[in-house]
Amino acid sequence: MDDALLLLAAFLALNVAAGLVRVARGPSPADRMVVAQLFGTTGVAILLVLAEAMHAPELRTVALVFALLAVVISVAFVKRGWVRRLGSEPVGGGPGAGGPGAGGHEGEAMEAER
Amino acid sequence: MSQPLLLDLVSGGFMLAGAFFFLAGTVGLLRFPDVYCRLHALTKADNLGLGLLSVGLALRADLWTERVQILLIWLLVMGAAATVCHLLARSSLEEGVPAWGEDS
Amino acid sequence: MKRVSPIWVGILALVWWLLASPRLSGWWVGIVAVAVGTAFHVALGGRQRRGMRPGHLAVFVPWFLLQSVRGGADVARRALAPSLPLAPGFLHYRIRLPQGPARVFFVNCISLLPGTFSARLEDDDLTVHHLAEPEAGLRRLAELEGRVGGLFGMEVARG
Repeated sequence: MDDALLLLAAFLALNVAAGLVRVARGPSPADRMVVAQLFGTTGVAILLVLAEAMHAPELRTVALVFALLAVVISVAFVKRGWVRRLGSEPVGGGPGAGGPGAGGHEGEAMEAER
Repeated sequence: MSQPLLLDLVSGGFMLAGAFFFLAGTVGLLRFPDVYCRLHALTKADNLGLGLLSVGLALRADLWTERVQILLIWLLVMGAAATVCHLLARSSLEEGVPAWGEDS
Repeated sequence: MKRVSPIWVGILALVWWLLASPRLSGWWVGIVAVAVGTAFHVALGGRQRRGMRPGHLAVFVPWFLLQSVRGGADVARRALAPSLPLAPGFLHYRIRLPQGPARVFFVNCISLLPGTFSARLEDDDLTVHHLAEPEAGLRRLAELEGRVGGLFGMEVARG
């Protein structure tokens, strides 16, 4: 049964890997942030399964921390405001938006499909 | 394995069902046409997947405190997912991310 | 000076004990965590006058679990169907629950109902995204609002 659990954990990890396709495609920063949410939920699932498979109850604590961090990341993302670039011109959100270049890779390829 | 076979079967069934919903969530994330639809796929399918997985694992747990731990983690993830879904959707709306099939 | 509910401290201590068990070697960290948690609780508004009625949870939780199973199954079916049967869009819903914990709880629950999630709340106007079938979504929202109202012990006017 422990081997089956390890297989299950591997399968869940494959889901996370598939999510990377969405990170690559975007198109909006929010699309990429949704994948962070996938990492959070699936990461918790993987850790819970591994805690059982490897008889390592500490991993459940790690899962808890993982769940909390996933929230913090998303809230930080939303609070910071997006840095959207149409051409080279930054179009900030509200007053919370960072300046040009503050967005890192997330701000780059926002495609305005209008 | 000292646990009875039946328990293994039932908990295994729950965990397999959970894995199925994780797969469905990932497929939705990749196939759905816009960020709003993708949020549906993640919040609903993945949380159901984690719920089923938690039930399967809780059935196998040795101590009842482990069961409560698993339950607490699931509740936290569920509440967090609902809130994060709302936040991401709201900020997408404010940033004018177009919805699929809408001319804006 | 706001009053600190001893029940709240007890709940936090219980949660810590559950998370830390079976090894309680770091119990002093727990005491600090409970103190900090209580401080946040007081700083963020303390005890609400109208909380949940615990007895009604016994009715609400099973219904909610069933709905979230349906929600997950619905989204899984649409994701895996080759034709991708989606008719997404936004709808508006007028919230009748008053400001406060009941409303926050309601808005959060929407995201786990089949086919809907809450996207924006301005005064009483809630923008909801639906995957398909907006009419069914509206009906479920009204039902959820009524049930959440019951959970918090308040009447929600129909219509």
